[in-house]
Amino acid sequence: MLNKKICMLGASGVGKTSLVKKFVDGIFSEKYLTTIGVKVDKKVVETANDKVQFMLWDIEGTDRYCGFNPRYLRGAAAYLVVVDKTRSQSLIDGDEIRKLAEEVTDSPALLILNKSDLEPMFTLDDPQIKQLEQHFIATIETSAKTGKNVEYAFHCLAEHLICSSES
Amino acid sequence: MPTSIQTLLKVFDCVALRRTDKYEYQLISETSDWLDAVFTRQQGQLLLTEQDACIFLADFLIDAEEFWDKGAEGTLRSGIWTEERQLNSNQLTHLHLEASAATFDGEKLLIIKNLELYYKEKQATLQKARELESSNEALIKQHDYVKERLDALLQDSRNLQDVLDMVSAAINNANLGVLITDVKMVPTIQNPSLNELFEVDRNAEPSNKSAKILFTLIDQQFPEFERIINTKRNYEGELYWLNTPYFMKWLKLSMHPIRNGKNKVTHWLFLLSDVTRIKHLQQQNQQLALYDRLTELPNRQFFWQMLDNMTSLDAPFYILYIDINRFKYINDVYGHTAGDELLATLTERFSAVIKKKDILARIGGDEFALILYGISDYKECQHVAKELIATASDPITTDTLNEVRISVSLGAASYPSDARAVECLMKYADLAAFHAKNSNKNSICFFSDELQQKVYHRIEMENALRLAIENGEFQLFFQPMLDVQSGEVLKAETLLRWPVGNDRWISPADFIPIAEESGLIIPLGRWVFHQACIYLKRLEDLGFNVRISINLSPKQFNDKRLTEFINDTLKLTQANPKAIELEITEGVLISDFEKMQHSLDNFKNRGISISIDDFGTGYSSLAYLKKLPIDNLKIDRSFVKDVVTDDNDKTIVLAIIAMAHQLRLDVVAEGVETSEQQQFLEHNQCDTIQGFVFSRPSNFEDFCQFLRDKFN
Repeated sequence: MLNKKICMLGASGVGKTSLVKKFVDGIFSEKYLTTIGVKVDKKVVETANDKVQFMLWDIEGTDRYCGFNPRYLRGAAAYLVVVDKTRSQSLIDGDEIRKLAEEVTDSPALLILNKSDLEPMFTLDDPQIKQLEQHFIATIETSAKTGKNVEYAFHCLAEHLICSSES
Repeated sequence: MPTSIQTLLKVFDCVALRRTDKYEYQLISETSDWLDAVFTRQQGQLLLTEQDACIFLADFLIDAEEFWDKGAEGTLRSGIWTEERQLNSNQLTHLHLEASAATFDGEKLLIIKNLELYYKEKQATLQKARELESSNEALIKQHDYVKERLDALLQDSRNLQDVLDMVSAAINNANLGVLITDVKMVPTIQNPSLNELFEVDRNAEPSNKSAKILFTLIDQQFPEFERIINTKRNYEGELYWLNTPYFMKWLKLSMHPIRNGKNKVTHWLFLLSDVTRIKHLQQQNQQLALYDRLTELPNRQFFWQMLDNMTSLDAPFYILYIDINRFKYINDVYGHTAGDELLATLTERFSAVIKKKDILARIGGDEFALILYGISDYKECQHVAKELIATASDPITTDTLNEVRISVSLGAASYPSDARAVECLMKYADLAAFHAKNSNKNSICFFSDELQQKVYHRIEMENALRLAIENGEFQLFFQPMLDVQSGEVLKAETLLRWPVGNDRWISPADFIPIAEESGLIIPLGRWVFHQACIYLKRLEDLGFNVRISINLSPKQFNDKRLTEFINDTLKLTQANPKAIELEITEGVLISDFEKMQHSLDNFKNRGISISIDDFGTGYSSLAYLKKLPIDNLKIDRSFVKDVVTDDNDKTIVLAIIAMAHQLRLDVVAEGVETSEQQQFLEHNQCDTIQGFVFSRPSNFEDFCQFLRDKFN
């Protein structure tokens, strides 16, 4: 079975931990509890042809209190840039994080537009998103609260990584 | 290991390990109850591979191995990570750990700390700080949204009453206080939330009671208000409302001028939110209550208190206002992180210049204020100001900024000679800084009655400019650009002129900086583009095959509606886009590259060509030349002026021509005034020439005559 390190990146409060929690344990909590440092979780994802074990690095959100640490991306097979659909600033921050990540890794990345159950500040059709999504293998709207597309996002990533390793 | 060290490690809930082999470690301290829950032991050895131990630590050990191999001094820390494990009970527990690698007596040591308490404290602090951050962000967004929505609607409908009708339902339902007044500050619209904010019953008399409270607070707390109204600026700040003995509230205020289609300010928009909760969160977070979070300097409120205290001592001092020029531009171009880094750098530099007893504060987005303790002589104040200016002018390099240069404008007022009241001191220093900003970069102005007059004159000039735009009082002049070899008129640069009667003109050098600084460059630039398109169509109808070149300032280029405006104008005037050239300066090109490329590609796709104006004087990154769809380079006139006599200028001009041709770009030399300059440029393969040697800028009729003469 393939083992893959996946990094969760994004500004603070965008829902990285909630996405991991929902994906790994199937749980969602309304209470926001900020992440400090890193927590690594494992989950096996099965695709039609193969299995892959994700080691999900849930990394403290990047903001004025915590800078971007490129070291955490070492050996990452892929990374997810998570943004909060209700906060357009998180999209700007996400783009900056993406640029920083691209300086240290060529790994594929997913753009996750989280909190899609809430009133959005931007949509998939917005030019900002259009401009940004060209840097990602896919852009997926998710909701850790309702579970919308959470499994799907990680599944897509698994498919992509399995395909890449086969080729 | 000595017992004392063992005890110490235990007190700090640490364990110490000695590296015996790759991934194998021997415990050299007492064990802890959490250790075995996290790590696997085999024959007394701890195995720290990715499979046996935790993934995070195994990853850190890659760096640790490198650190030990180098024999580096000090320690290497992993940063905090969390492990989910079962301890004594069956319940899941989160362990918050940090590892450090160190070398001691040739031994490779690994210390692992359990940071349970520290983690909780840090999490509690950051939790509040981040909640605060996100509440602030949401509020700012809410304010910006209402403002942008109004602006967008006004742009489209151009009738305020229509707009107000359209947004009245939204305003009534908004959960932030909205007040719209006319220019005399008479309320025309206010929403129920405003009354709720000021605890005013909706049926209370007079009906504008909330507005009255607001203006009283503004009078007491914002000495800059008059200047902001006069100069029609946006403003953001906080108000403190103490409604003794009942309650106190912190209010976030943003004010924006509302302009009609002709860019005339007809109303003012005031947006207010209750930020008491945010302040409360700040107070819980100690440092944040009276200090600016980013720079950790005293904030506006604290500065005001200290200024009050200083005046009560009745000893002379100076107050300095420090305004960072074009800070918004840095934020727009390089992003907010870069803006924050710039502020932090300036704070460090300013702090190094001032005395311990002086008080430096951040009182606005791009404004610092300084109390110079015990200084009564203006020369002493000037000395400090010069040091501040010098330190601010040094190139700034941070994680996201590379050798960026900025300038500051300083305003000074003295206690007690200029004023005794805190409000007046702040107002006078603000006016002086405003004057400095409009005079020279990196300058200081001292408040005086004369300065006050000058500021008011500047404000009058700005108002006159606004009126002139409204009434279309400007004229476009044209200066031809000729093919060096054939002498054919290829194109003409449009130049703006402002006539003020009796054959008198206000120089562009006088009014363009005011237009740039006040934001009037956007409507003025639009007027120029629109008029240029009309003239272009007339030229075409008259049978002249000449292109028109139009200048775009960086501010215009950052206008979100620029592309839409250009497309609409081309459609309206039926001007041929292939006959239009946009002249932009190098400064425009340092903006976000992708955004820039997107905009320029859009113009190119319409057939518009792009020229880089004043080439050689701006930023030296030449990467954009090959990546962006540029057609021409215009050599700055300063190099052309002495090209015949100055070897340096000669070399620069030749280098520009050679480089441009390598990149397949055409070269235009502007400011060509003599036949010697013309000959030099001709001999050295310059493509196009513009200057007095052929023609001064002239009005449309004279330009047409020039074309006729040339064609004949």
